Amino acid sequence: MDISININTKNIIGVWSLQSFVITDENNLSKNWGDNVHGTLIYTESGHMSISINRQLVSTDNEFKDIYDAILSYAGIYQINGDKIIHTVTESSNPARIGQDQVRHAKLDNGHLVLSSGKESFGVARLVWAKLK
Amino acid sequence: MKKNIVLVSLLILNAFSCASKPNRQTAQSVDSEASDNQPTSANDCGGLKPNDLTIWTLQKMANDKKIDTLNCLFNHKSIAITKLPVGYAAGTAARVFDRPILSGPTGFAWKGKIFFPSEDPTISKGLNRIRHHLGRYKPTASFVTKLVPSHALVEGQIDSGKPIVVLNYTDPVSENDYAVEGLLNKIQVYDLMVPVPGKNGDIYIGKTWRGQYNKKTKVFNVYNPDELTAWFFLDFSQAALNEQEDRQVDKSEDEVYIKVLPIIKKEQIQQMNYNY
Repeated sequence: MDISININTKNIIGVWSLQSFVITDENNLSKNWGDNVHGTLIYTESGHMSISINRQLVSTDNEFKDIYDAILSYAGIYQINGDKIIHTVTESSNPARIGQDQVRHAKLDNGHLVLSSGKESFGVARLVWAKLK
Repeated sequence: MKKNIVLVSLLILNAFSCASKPNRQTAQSVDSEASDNQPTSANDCGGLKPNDLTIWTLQKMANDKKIDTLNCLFNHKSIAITKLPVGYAAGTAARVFDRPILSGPTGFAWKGKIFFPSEDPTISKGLNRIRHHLGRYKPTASFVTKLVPSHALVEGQIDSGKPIVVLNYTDPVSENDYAVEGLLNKIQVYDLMVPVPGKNGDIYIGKTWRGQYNKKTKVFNVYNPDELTAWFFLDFSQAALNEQEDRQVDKSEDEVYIKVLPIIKKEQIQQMNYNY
């Protein structure tokens, strides 16, 4: 039986391991963010959060871009607003994100934390996380 | 031209006590000049009747992108005051840009400010009423505030002779080391606000900018004077505080109130050495 639970501070605090990172484009086509994707998401009781994701390098002629494209990380604070969790970024692998809010629709499905972006230029990102014991 | 430069200085924080029972101080120290309370025309600023304004109608204006009307009120309908407000204020806010920026501490998690009484009625400090991530609203994120006759950020916009209230969060911002205070140390903001006539008395219309404070030079650089982070609106009246409680899902018991507001002493004010 599928069980979906609304998020709250108590049930998201902890360390989460990335299970899947899927992007669905405007044509409803889905694909993984990359190969061998792995990541860690941390929510603390103090209100801080940190997310770090890597994927396998894809080699092109631009090594720096290859490395940059294989990293997705930021840290900051989080606040829950209904079914959304807002990450306000204070440090990031992309400095342009600093000061911005990353708004994610969030729910707990069968014990997994599911975070979805809104419609972005690339489509909608859906990340599934499992809590580490 | 120092349009994007704001000078500020340090403040030694004052200890205060918190209580869980609501015991708000709502005394208003606004010293309005009666002759300035009446707008030149009730139909100015988009046909509004200023005395019907509330912080919720102003928030709706901002959300409806009626920025010209808000700027008209901000620039031309402010009241000449000689004292900073004192006490708890109910607040509403609206983000300016579609790209989310600081929507928690300047938006959904924010419900107003607290201005402390001071031995100098033109310089004081205060705190914001921000929802702690674990649930309750708490006095958070201190600011230094001053009533100034003019300001570079609104140079040429506000009618002459109308003072402006400055709020600087940058040094220091913390009282409790909450996560949101650490955030405001890293992602720094700066506020200006002016009072206009409202339904329950004076309402403050405020603008928030992002920037960076330099502790050595005591200069606050606003990144872009033309790019606001948020509008905010304050009402210090008991009527507005009551209406806010009625409107919000979060009732009064969900807020930690300051039992007795500390008085900012002259010795502290001297240490503030406040420029703007």
